[in-house]
Amino acid sequence: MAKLRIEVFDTTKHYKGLKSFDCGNEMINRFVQKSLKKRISKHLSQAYVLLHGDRFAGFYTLDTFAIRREEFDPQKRPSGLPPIVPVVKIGMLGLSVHLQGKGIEKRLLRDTFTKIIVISKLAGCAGVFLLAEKEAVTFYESLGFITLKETTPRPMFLPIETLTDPG
Amino acid sequence: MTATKDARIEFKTSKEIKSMLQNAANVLGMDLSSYLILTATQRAREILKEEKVLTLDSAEWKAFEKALHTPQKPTQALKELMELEPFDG
Repeated sequence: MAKLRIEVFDTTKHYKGLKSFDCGNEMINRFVQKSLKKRISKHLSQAYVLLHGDRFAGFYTLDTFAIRREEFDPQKRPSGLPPIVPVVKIGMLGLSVHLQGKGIEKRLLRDTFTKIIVISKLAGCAGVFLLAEKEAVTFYESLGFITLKETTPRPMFLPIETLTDPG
Repeated sequence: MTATKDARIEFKTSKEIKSMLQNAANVLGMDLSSYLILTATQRAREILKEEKVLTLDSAEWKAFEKALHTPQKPTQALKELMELEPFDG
């Protein structure tokens, strides 16, 4: 297998295979083909590209995000936390169908976690946030994610302390 | 929202979906266009509002707070994931 390499998405670069990227999810494919570059150029997200040889073979995006406490809550009680807590959101993650089923998805996820650990050291972030599709909830639970809200897709969270705990 | 209607949206869908949307519009006593604009703009506001922040109610916040104050030890699955081979770069 050609070498797998990860790099920060370079908006000035032409990525071979980006326009025909297929991860099996139509929404994510369209996002990569039409919106990814614009979003990164405006610094609304950061994206990391998985290169297989010289081809665009996968990616994920990281976003600053916040978990906020409802303002007009009648049951409001004192809390040890400020009403808005900074987290990092794994926005989208996609891997080319050609590379699926070899455990590379998990390595991509590992890569997001290592980046989020660095971010937490540089700017402060309480943990990892993501919206899990129904089929993925059990998997993220097995990694220690908790459910923040019972909605679909499901908002899930993993504290940075758990992530950096050597066990 | 202004009352000026100077833009147009057209799209194709299946008979089944159109009929379902029409039925829902009928329930509210609206014509199909007004119904679609109303429901889509409501949803669009939510999507845009939630793009950078998630709001939790009291009970949800309590669970979040607990997770932060008493973080769990990493699970076996998390430890194994973190030990996977890093990519180059």
